[in-house]
Amino acid sequence: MKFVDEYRDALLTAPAVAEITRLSVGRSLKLMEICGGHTHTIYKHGIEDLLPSTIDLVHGPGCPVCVLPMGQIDDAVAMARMENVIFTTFGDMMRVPGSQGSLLDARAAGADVRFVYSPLDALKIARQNPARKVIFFAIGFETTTPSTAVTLLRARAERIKNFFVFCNHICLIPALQALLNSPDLHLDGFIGPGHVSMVIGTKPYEFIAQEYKKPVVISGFEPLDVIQSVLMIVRQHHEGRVAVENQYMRVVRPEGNVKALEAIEQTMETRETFEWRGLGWIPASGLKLRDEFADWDAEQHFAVPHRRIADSKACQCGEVLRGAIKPWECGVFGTACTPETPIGTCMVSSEGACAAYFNYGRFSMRSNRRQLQVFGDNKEIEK
Amino acid sequence: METYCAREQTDGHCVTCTDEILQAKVLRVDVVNGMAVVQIKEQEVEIDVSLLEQVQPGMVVLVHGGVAIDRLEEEELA
Repeated sequence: MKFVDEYRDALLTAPAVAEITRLSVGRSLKLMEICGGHTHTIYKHGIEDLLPSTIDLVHGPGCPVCVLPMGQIDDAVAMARMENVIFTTFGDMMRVPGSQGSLLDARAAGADVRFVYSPLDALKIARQNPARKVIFFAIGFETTTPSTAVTLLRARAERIKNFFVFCNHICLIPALQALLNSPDLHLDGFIGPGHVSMVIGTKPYEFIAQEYKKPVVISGFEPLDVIQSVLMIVRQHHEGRVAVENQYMRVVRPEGNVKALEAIEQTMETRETFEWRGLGWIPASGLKLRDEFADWDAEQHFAVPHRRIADSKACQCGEVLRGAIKPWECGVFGTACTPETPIGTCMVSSEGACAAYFNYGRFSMRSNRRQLQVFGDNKEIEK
Repeated sequence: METYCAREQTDGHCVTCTDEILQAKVLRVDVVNGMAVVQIKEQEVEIDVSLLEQVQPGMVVLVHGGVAIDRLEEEELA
């Protein structure tokens, strides 16, 4: 990639951080990033340790795996276990535990569950196996939704009738609105998701600046992208401005990808409401297939439990996803809940806040100042 | 030419959660079917380019989940 070296240049970091420090004197700011990729970048590159302690980065619900309710996993597992089904899914969904086990468990028990990198792969499997029913587990925000939309259009054009989509796509903007209305969360700005914005553009965020008076800066994913985005937010506060700004101009255009939005509009519509793990029911935040695509809608062809499953009482993923607590502040982080033995999805997904912190953030100096003993009794270590 | 689904997935990372976007250089375009053969990390794969206008060989596109979502302009590659 061309931009890796330039956007990881430590020499460029110092003046940006110095400016952030200068502008944020006497000002505490809590900024939320909503993308799993940003969480990963922040922890992997130790960005929190570079920033002044008055800048607090909290991690929002940017991991589609993390926010999928257990009941949807159960429905996926039920479909996978059905006769003559080939169940296809993206990466981390294989390991996410439902109340009846994970898709990986179903595969171990004999179900035909296959990992794919694209819904187009699932369509190819359907073409190659005309006597089998191939279901694609469609999850993800607006970055991923176009790939499902395009695949549905191809399935219809080619009249492939043994391909089905189990649609669990979610929409970012309603979730942001729910967070902004949350009484226990007081944020001073958002680091906006770069690749969702590549699809939806920058206009959908304007209500955050206009109605809620919070800055939004759409950010790229390299370390300097994130640092520059923090600087842009801090500058807005310093200058008394509130706006939606685009740091990721090399990729994000104000109008987004119009053809991608049209493809989504053609194939899917908004559900009245959708459950987000840890956040509850959020109106108009999930997508389902339009009636014209009923022939490819897994929910209309495969009877599943449709049960709502409560999380373990020990799980605090909801508070982590809302940014109310940090991963290490969860009572079971690093003890009962680890990447090897996850209780909640924030630890299952490699891009979940808890997994990202476990893999990288434990070595962070900032978290060490408030460190909980990970492998012993949970107690605070004094500075 | 390797199909998209045949790529080795050794790290098991989550495409959706990372919002992963891969840079791909366009090698050949099937205009009729809206597909293209591109090079991603030294592998040739086939992707959907129906969401972009006027895709041509030599162009660099940004790919997520097997579909080109955007392109990098010339000045961004200079």
